[in-house]
Amino acid sequence: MKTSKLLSLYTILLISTLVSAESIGEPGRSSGKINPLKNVYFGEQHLHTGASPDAFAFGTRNDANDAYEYAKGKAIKNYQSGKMIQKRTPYDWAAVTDHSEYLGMMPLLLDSKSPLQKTEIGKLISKGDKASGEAAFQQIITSASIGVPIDYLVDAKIMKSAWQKQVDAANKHYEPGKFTTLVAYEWSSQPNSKNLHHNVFFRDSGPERIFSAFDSVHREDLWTYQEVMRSLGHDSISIPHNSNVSNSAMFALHTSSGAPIDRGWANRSALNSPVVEIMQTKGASETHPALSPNDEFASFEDKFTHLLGSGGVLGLIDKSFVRQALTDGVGFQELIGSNPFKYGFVAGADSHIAASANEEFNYPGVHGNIDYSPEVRLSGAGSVAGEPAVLFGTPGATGVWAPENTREAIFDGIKNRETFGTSGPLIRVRFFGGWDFPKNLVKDKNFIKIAYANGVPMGQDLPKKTSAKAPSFAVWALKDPESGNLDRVQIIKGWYDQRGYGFQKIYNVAWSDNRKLDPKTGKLPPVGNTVNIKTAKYTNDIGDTQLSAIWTDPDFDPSQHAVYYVRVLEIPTPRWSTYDAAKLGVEPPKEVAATIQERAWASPIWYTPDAKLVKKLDFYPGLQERLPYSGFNIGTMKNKK
Amino acid sequence: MKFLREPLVQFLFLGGLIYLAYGLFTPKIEEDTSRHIVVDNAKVQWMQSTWQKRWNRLPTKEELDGIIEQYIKETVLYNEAIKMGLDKNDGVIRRRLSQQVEFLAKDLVVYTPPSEEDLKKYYDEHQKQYTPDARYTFTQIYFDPDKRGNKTLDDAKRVKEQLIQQGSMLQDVSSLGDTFMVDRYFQSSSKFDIRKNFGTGFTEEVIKLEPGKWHGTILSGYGVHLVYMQEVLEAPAPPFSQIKEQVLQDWTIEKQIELKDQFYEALKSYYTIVVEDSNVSVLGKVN
Repeated sequence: MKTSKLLSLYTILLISTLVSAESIGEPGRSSGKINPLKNVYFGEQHLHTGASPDAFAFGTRNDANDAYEYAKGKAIKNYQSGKMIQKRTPYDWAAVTDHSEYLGMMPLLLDSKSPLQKTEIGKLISKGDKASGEAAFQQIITSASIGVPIDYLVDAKIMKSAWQKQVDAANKHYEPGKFTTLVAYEWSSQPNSKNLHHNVFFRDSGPERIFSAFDSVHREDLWTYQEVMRSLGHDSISIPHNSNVSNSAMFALHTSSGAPIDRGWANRSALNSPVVEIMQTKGASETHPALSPNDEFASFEDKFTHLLGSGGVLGLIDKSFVRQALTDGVGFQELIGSNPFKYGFVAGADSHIAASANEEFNYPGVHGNIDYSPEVRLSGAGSVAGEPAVLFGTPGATGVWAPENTREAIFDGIKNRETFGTSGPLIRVRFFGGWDFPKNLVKDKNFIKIAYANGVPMGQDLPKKTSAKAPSFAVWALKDPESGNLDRVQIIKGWYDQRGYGFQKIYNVAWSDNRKLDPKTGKLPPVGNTVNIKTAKYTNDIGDTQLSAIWTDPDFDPSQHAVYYVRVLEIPTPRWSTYDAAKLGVEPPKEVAATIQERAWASPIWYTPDAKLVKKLDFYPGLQERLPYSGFNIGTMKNKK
Repeated sequence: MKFLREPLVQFLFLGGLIYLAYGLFTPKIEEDTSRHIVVDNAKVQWMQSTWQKRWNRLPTKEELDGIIEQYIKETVLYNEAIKMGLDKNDGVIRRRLSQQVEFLAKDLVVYTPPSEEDLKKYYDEHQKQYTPDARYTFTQIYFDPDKRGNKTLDDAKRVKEQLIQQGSMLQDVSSLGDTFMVDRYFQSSSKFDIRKNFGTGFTEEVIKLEPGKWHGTILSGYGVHLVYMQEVLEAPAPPFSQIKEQVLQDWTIEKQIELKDQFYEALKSYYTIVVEDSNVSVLGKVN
């Protein structure tokens, strides 16, 4: 108890030193047409440049300016390979999220005029040989990842000017109506090797001083920083990522101090962290085969496990994946009246070469020295945190529905969870929920208008129940014209029963090629696979261009809290490693799948029953008793047949 | 004496001057290999100002002593290293020194500012670079191959004939074709905008279309389209007077690169270069 009080006192003191923050000047605001029915804007929300110490150590010297140019569709020079790299389809918006820990400090260590070179680490680096350099970088990276600063390397002045550089680059590349940049950074907290990283995004140009893991590794303290800054006019959101390697920490059922999650904590989580990153180069975080054994698509880009050494041990998968967290979230809603895991979805790169290369067929690597060419990538050598380059996937992408392409509109779209994440392709997804959607809504010319008027879009709560019927959901997906056709659209439901157990169920709601559902299992036969592994070519003669459906929940129980989200699957296409292997005329690597079904995940819609409908529970306050803290208990989430 | 006005000649001449000046005025840290080290006032001032530039304040007494001590130590060891010939064939030193020469070369261009005519000429030669992207206003009708199967192309062609017969005026086409998530109407959209929505193949076709007509069938990653190109706006580049600053910036960047290369080529021309191992590529990486 005492420590947590001390901790919050420390945080308040610390924050009060940050309060001198002033606005850094707003770039001009002007926008084009406003579409009340919203347009989709694709972009990047997770990207590192040479200003991140680890990226610098991987040999990246490109900066935020290069990152924005690349996102806009211009060719930039890849620092390691010397080759020009360019996206085929440009993005509408991007955010550079360099690590706040030692931001922009690496170049100073190599600068002979800097006093930093006289420090122990500076001396090691200036020895000039490879081994000393690596040893020095190792010390820095370790310090950053455990959140313990090397005191003589932490300098407020360096930090401030490095941050100002990031802000300036973002403002310089912001073209309202055409291309949006968000001012952002990464808070790289990793206590006890449990990844709790969050990216922080500002609605404006942000405050002067950012809050790093050196200030605190506890997310409650990050939230305090956000809340204080919000009261000063700098609204922000923080987005957790890589829950898949969080060693059961990201969606734990207790707070940093070990207390059970209470209503206040849940409210703060939902306010400050409204979305979660569901996919990036270090893997997908939707779910895991061990958590969803009945989900034949659960195993997807899940070979990267080493970051924290979980090594696929079941106990460390528990509370590390989004589907389980969403389900636990509605359990909390029922028990404490607030949902701590009320997350919408985004996806991103986490690339460390200043380039958000989401295109599978156009992959330049993500970690510089260890993966800059097909030869290096497939060699099996070189690693980040012990994993070979081949286990990394291509970056994901985020779609935001917003009335216009401005910083405010994109930020608000993410904050309101009107977002979807993809594994890379620019698949478009619309998703609405309501009580009285007409059966033929998706065929209607005014589909979107009616859906907004009579229901809610992705990321929202269903409106107050107005009919005796079950809720219905409208979903519409369109393929990326540069990628594979669509296989199917699924709605995934999570809920809690009255005994305090979580459940999940997958419904196929729209699919291609006139296939028939198995009436017993509800499963759909596979769409097929046209990929020629040797040439890395496929044909789009299976699958559909667009899929749509109105779906009514056949298992609806008005007394149960529930969450619904959408998963759209593409037909199988070659993985990047298969494209590389074809280029080199070798066999694709055995450790990973040769073909993958790329996908999109649309943010959930929640159902909260009226208090009168909920039966009085027979246990209290025992969420923590019902949902065990440690060890994996399959009973916490059952698969409904 | 026309050759004196050639930038390269001016450049080499100025380059020579700078070399000379550099040799005269820079504290002779690099060259002094004797056993006599003087830390005079000029040197101390130089140390202080270097410190101030980096840290925005003067060094304390203690810090200054440290810097001087560090300087002496460095000089002693450096001198010994030079005597032992350690500077020869050290990769880091070679790279550092060659970078410094390049760096000096880069600064030279400020000594030959361009005339108004130079800039105008540059602007004329780079018109395309200053011309804004063309803007396309068009309507597209989509035919879904998943719905129509083998009839998709024929259906689209039939609708096209119907539209042409009705006259080229654009009537309400919202009942034609199939439902599609992408808009039917695109107003003054750039090539990038079109590519974001329809992919590369479709875009390359559409930007070539003649305005005032129905076109098609055009294929995209989605299926089959008919396109009515309403208007193509190709604005000219803004007048020189309006973007002079930008032109000067671009001119300078290009000139710097050009002169740096010329400088290197000129220096290189004094060398006889023999590459013996035919397997080693001259262009290969250093590492």
